[in-house]
Amino acid sequence: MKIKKIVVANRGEIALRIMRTAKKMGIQTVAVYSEADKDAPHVHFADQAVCIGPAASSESYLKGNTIIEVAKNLGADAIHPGYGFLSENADFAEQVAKNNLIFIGPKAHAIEVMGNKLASKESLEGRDIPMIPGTKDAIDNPEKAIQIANEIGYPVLIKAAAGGGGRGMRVVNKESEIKEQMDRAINEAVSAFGDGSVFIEKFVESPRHIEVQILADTHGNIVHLFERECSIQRRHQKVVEEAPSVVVNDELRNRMGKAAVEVARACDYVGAGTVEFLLDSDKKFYFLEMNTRLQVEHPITEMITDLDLVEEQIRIAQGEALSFTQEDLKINGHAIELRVYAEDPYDNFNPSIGTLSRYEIPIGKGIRVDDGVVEGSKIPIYYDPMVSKLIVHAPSRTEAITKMLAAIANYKIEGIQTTLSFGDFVCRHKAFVSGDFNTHFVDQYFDEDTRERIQEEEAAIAAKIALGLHLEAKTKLRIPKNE
Amino acid sequence: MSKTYKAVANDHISVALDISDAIVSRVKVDGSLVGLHNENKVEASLLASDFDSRTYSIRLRGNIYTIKLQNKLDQQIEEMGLSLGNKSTASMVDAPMPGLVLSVLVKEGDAVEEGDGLLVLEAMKMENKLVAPRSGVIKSVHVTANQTVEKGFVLIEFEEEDEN
Repeated sequence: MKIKKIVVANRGEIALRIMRTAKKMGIQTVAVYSEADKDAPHVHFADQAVCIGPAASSESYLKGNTIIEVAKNLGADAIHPGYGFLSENADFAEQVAKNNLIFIGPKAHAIEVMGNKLASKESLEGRDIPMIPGTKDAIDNPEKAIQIANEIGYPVLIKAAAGGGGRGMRVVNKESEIKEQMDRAINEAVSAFGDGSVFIEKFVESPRHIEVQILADTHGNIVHLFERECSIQRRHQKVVEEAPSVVVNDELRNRMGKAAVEVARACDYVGAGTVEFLLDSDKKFYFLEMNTRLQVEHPITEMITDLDLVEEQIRIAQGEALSFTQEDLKINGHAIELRVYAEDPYDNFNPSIGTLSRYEIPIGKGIRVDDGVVEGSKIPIYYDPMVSKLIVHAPSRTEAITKMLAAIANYKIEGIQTTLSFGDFVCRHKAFVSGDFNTHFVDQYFDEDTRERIQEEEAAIAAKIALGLHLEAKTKLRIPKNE
Repeated sequence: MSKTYKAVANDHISVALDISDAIVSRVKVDGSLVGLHNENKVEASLLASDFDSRTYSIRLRGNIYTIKLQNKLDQQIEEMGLSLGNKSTASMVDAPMPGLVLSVLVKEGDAVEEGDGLLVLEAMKMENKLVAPRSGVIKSVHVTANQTVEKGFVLIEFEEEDEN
């Protein structure tokens, strides 16, 4: 069945990004938006737009039934959930299907199994997929959890069973911290997901976070689109991603790709999905979780494969078979993505909320900016603080890093602090440049002393520029004597 | 060798400069500029400038530095220790980011040790426990649970420290 009209159940850059592909394919688009987003670019870009409630996402972007009503009222045939919000909500996927609409994503069953870390591990038992030592059952009793943590040995990781994207995860380094951390993890899980159960596992030290993109159609074809290296994280959330990874060779890529395809097969996966792995310093990899949606960082895969993943998602949702096989896929060059968050890296990545008093994107060959803001946009506190994604693509990794630095220099954002400065730090850092880094990059290298030193160095350069400008102005203006 | 000029970046980083340190650059219409620093190319942007107050706002590597070049009088005042605006902030705990107060863990009159939890602030889906910057007695609490606060909002005040 050919899709003619899609409701995009999301906001910001991803809503726009989905609509662009839909438009390219001749498909009509419907935006939904909260009162806080009434002037947002995604609202103006869509062919139709419907306000679905107040700013709080629980009153708007998470209102599945309202969004389904919108789709029915406007004669849409499909709903694309983007990432976040309803994208991994199995009930929503099921309701969409029950209302004779197409959910652009996997079946509810796959979301449900993979959305619960314990269920996902169970579903993979007996398959050739490496796992990290940890609890098999969900635990909501702090005493028992502490006992298990002591058995596994520290450091341990506490994860909300219903969590994801780094939310509800805590590392505990020693027994004396376990009680407080456990209470807090359970509280956070209850308030964020309404489910206080957690599981505990061995914390793999110095791991790299490597994930594999897969595509599965309804005809039983599953391919992997190679890996993405996502080790540069703060608070367990990714900031810089690249594809391919410098440490993954063809042999390892092949094995990880096969494991990812196996995971997808285990849950009858359909659509675009991502299988996340931890890779330890001995290059052993462990299954972490599967994200049953389009990932934030999907563009780097698009850059190195020349595929449009949203287009592939839509084609799969229409029942089409994949138009290529695993053998057809080749890695073309190197891509890096920087997530531009409204945060101040030099103030512990604290949110920096405000209005974009100036907003100009860098333009050039191999530079892509996925954004959902314009000059004058406010960054609302209600949602994820991501402003945009800056993506570069070049023939080699070295050239990609150079291109990223130039793009950062030409990305003009004023009014808020952003992670652009952190991206600059990463791309200049010798650990990143050499490829020898892991998920502790921020803790290891972006510590307070380093931040202070960098700010002092940069302040000195800026002061020298200012002095140069001032002296020049003084000469030009011929101010008699002001000092 | 003492430097001739002094500059202050973002009100807290001080830089000593000589005339010979000046980086010569040409500013384009959009504010972008290129100069040489220790023989390396430096790309930056001039965001704002005020000749009279000797203030220049420059974006470098994604960070913004507001540079105030001090004149001799400013420097003399500072050297004599007459600079104003030196009020102590150690008796106040303010919000490091905008957010929602989830719970307040102390009340007026409580004695706390450095590092004790004061309140839990939720921002951007994260729970953040704010802790006491020093030991002391809570003088006043300006927030209650479920209150939204802006960055910099004074949450809790401490009694002044005893002189001893």
